[in-house]
Amino acid sequence: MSAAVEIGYVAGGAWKRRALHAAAVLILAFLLLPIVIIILLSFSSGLYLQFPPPGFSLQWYERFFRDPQWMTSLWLSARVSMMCTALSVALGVLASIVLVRERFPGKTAVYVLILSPLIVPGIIIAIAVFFLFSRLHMMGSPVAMALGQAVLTLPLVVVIVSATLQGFDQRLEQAAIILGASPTRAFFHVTLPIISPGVISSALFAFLASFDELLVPLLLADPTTMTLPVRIWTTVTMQIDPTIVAVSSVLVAVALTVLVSAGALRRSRA
Amino acid sequence: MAGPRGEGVARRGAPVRLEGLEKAYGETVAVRDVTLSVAAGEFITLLGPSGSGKTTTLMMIAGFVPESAGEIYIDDRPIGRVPPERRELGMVFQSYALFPHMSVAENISFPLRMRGWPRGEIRQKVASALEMVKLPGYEERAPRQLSGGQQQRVALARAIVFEPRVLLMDEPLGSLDKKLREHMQAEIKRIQRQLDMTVIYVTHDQDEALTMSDRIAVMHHGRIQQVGSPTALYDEPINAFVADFIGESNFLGGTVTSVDADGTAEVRHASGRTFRAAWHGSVRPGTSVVASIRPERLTLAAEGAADFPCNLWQGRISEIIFIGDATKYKIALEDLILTVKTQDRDFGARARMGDEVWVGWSPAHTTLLHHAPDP
Amino acid sequence: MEQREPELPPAPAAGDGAGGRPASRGRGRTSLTGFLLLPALVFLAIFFAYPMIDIVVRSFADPGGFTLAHYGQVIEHPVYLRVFQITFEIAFTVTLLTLLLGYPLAYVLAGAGKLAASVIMACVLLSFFTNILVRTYAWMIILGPEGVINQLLRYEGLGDVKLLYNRYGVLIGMTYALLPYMVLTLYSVMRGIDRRFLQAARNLGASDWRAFWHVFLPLSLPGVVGGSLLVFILSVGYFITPRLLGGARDQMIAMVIEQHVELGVNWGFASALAIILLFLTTAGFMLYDRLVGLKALFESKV
Repeated sequence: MSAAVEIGYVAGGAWKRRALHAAAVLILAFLLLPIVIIILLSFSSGLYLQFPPPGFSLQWYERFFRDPQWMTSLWLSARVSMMCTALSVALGVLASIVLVRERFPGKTAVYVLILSPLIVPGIIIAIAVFFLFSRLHMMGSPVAMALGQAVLTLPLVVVIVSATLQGFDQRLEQAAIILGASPTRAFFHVTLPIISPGVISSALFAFLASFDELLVPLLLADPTTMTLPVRIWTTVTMQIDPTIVAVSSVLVAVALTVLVSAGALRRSRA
Repeated sequence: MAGPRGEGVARRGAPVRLEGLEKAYGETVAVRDVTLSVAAGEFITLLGPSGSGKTTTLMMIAGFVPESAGEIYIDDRPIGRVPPERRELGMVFQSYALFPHMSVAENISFPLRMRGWPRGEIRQKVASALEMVKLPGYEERAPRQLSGGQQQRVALARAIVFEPRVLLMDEPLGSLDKKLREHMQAEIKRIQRQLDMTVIYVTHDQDEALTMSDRIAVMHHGRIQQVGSPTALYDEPINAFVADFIGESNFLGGTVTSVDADGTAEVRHASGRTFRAAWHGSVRPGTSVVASIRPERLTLAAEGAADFPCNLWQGRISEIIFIGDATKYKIALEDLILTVKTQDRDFGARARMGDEVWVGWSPAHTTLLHHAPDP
Repeated sequence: MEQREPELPPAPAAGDGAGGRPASRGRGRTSLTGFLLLPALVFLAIFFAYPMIDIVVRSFADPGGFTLAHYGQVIEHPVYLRVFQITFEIAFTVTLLTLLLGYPLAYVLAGAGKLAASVIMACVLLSFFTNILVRTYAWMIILGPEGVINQLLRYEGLGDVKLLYNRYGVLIGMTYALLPYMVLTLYSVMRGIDRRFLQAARNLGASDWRAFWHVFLPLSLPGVVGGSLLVFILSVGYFITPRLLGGARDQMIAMVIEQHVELGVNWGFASALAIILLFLTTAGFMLYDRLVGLKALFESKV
């Protein structure tokens, strides 16, 4: 590591550098430890959350996967997130095309509208969506949850796909057109295949964001339709059930999968 | 329409006509009043510096830039309302624009697939296109596996595989090194002749234009300055810009003092010296003119000689530049510098910086420019 | 090699309209692409813009019509003013803590070699992308009366500490949650600091500490300001973490809003609070944009 860390301190006191490294390691540990502890505890053979865990066991995972309520929630989360992802990717890709390529009056206003869910506090979007769907008597509807979550994931998709499109050489599209393809065919034969890693990336992150989302489905929930994060929430606030640890690990695994896939996609493009 | 190769021969290539083409972006005018007739099967080059409007003109012909005014005719039919994908033009871009996610064969067959050709025919056509660009057997390669020159040839194959009658080329050889560029220039000409296409070529490289073109249209500030064969442009530039952009030029300004029956005019330079220039009946005594003389038309001698061409001035060698197949000398007179280009190595062996020399040239090679360069 | 001419427009047949004549369906193409934007705009109009306006309306409405009573309640009852005060206190402290921890980590990350940088970045990103609920719950397990820390302390015979359901818990949990934002913001700025500046400083006689203090630190200030502002704004709107880790004296605005909505009683008041919160965070982001630029923020989310 000594050759690696070179910015700024060109061979100061060696102890200064080592102190800095130590601090960095500690802070890194701070970042990782909670997640590591959760994962460790999820494999615990103890009956309560005892640290360090007495032994290795898959009991909590079994409880999770055998429990009909948890499985209902898992399945609901998956469905809602898929709907949400499909919707936001479809809308977002189309919107990105226009935003990246066209100039028109009011473009800034459009950008503000599309990106503002990213800076509005989550609780406010959640209650806004809640008011709307309660008026429409759609409480507990998975479709309502998907629509509400799509408000949050759409800007995410636009940001990622816009960045991808900006790196796309439009002359490839022009070449396709002059060779006889209509603009639509040129898009499907040339543009889309080339930007697909970026589109898939955006889909992965949109899925993750909506899968992890708590507030929107929390306010829209009724006792029979709780997504996974909502069930974790109600369990955490009302009782102590170590199964949550296993569920949490599953969520960490989902996040890890998305990160690794996105990383692989980025490398495959280069 | 008669082509440069002969009268009344039916040509495969389509004639192209531009009438009053204009393109404005708000206040800025990129292309102004461009009118040009390209004969069937002709190789014409739009030549000019960056920003001269040549690429914009090409893009208007291709249909990617809507014209602000004017009409484009291909085969005497106006194509203003025809979208680019239906104009049946071949096009080669400077950056090749090969589809990175398709193989060479898929790239080349793209236009055929768009037109719904049957698979068997496509395969044949692709193979023969690759033969034509001298890349047989390259069907399954990926573009990123190819060198620059090979990519360019694939781009060319893709542009001609559907046998367009007009081929547009936008500085296609810009990123190739000199030897490769010269080789590709010959290849492009060969293919053009073989397929008998009309070619509209855009470049800023005057050597390339001079080598390849039947005619050249020199553009500057969005306007066509002059159209003509390479020789015509070189020997009879119409204004200082053309004279300076194609080849090098010495410019001498002055006033016409008299015009003689032998077809020459006498011009008095600001320094008081006079010289004689070729006169084509276009200027009268008293007019201000600018004369252009090519450096290779100037001769050097250590002392005046009787058999010298009629214009003879004296100066000192201020710079000697060896450029391989010739040597350039900068001759300083009190108020101006003349550039002389000569292959005379004997002179070179004796010449030294600061030497007094005589510079001589013939009125026949002194062109009076009768238009100021357009703003 | 000569540059491409600058006159080439970016899009094929970009409908500029200013030219006048619609050649080759130029104008037709513009309206087609306009269609592509429509679905997203309609969607956001219905499910975002309209609901937001609805909140504004509700905040000014009660069965009798237009009213300022909801906003009045905030000022009249010291309880709610106290909530705002607590929120800002917590946000401020969390910002300081994330800065304290984030700066050294970002510093090391910016200067690390490829392998170390990837490892550190992977850890930061994993933390960043893991569900906030999971990350908060982890602290419940660690800080609780039967949690990891207390178990270890008891094992060593050191008695108990109360770190959960109080301010300590909230501060630890929120610092943990927002640390990646600070690190990533600082890192993106530090990465751009040319190390030759520091070499020049050393060459001119500055010790490593002074080179840092006089050269590196000032240059990293935009990152400090940006990161701090970002963390502060996000903290102000936080709900999950303070709700799970905090006690009665750690009520933040978002929690109060949620309570009133969940209890189904005074939606108008909840709306008023929400608008105030929205106002504060929007003002914060506008300040962020003025000082740093929102564009960079969005791009770095990628």
